[in-house]
Amino acid sequence: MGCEKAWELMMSQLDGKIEGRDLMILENHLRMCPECRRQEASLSAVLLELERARPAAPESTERKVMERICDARRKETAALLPYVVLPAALLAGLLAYLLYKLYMSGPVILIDKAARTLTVFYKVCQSMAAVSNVLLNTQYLSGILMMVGVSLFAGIIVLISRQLRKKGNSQAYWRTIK
Amino acid sequence: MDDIVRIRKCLAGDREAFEPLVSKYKNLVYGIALSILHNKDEAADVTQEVFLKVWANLGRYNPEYSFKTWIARITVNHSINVNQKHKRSAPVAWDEEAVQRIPTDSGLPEEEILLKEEQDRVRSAVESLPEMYRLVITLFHQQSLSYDEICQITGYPLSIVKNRLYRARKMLCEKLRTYYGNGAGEEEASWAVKKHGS
Repeated sequence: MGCEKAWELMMSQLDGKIEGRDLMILENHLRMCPECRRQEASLSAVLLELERARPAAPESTERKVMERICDARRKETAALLPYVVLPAALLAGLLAYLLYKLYMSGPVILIDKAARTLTVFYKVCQSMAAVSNVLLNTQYLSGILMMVGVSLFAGIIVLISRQLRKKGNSQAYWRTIK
Repeated sequence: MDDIVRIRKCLAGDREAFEPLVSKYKNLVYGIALSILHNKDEAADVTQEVFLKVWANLGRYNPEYSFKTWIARITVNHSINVNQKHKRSAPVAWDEEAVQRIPTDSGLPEEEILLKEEQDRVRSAVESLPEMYRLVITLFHQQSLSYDEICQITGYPLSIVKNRLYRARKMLCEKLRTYYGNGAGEEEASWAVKKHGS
């Protein structure tokens, strides 16, 4: 067996894929060939050293990672607060004002306002049905179109809010990375 | 506990479930980062950053693939990015690491010096390899990853990984040949003893 073949067998041995007979052939060759023996020795030394020198991460890694994750969470929450608290306060104030006004004006006014709102909504629907009738020659299609429109609008709002939340998350995490 | 179970817990909001994952893979991440960056402090920083990236992108992890290879791939990409950002030309030796690993209060000083010399020789031979060869040999022989795992991490096909590993071994052999070539006459007996015992 030549040195080239011996080298191939050495590679197979390192991959853990050498068979018993090939191993014997290799060992016989190494016994006779000083050049291949030198190669085998140097390779073994390198690989042994690589295995032995397997680096260990600093012990504080877990603690530091968990701290940075907590920091990121805190920053994320803090960053979102102005966007949440201010509109929520405004909305709550507005609702309180409306309720107060309605309460002060009495139940008859309240019923009247609700009826007016329903009338406006009914008129909008009627107008849409009329337009639909003129354009598409059917009254019901407008209702379906309206529902599709409302669903689409709601979907867009959900999508935007999700994207904003995701962006907020990643920005907070990326801020923690140098 | 299985990695997948821990990942699901993390995704459900259990932050504590992430810590065992960090403990399990920190040496792998650090080892890969160190082999690319050659700097202990930077490798430690990159290790933390990789875990933060993993945490932030845990929802994108595909359980069909191994978590180990996913995390290793993130490490390789992040380390290469950091390396490119710093635009290193020549690697810095691992002397600090070597010094720390040598026991100072046991064994003869001469033996320690010889051991350190040998470690340095081997280490400088590994470091002198081009990055693409060094990475493959480190992943295979130091991190004990399989060919398939290396393919997934590096994105190279199997033929390239095998070829690079083959060449890397050959290059290392050539580099250390001069040192191990000395005393060839005495080698045969010591080799036989080493292989077959006394």
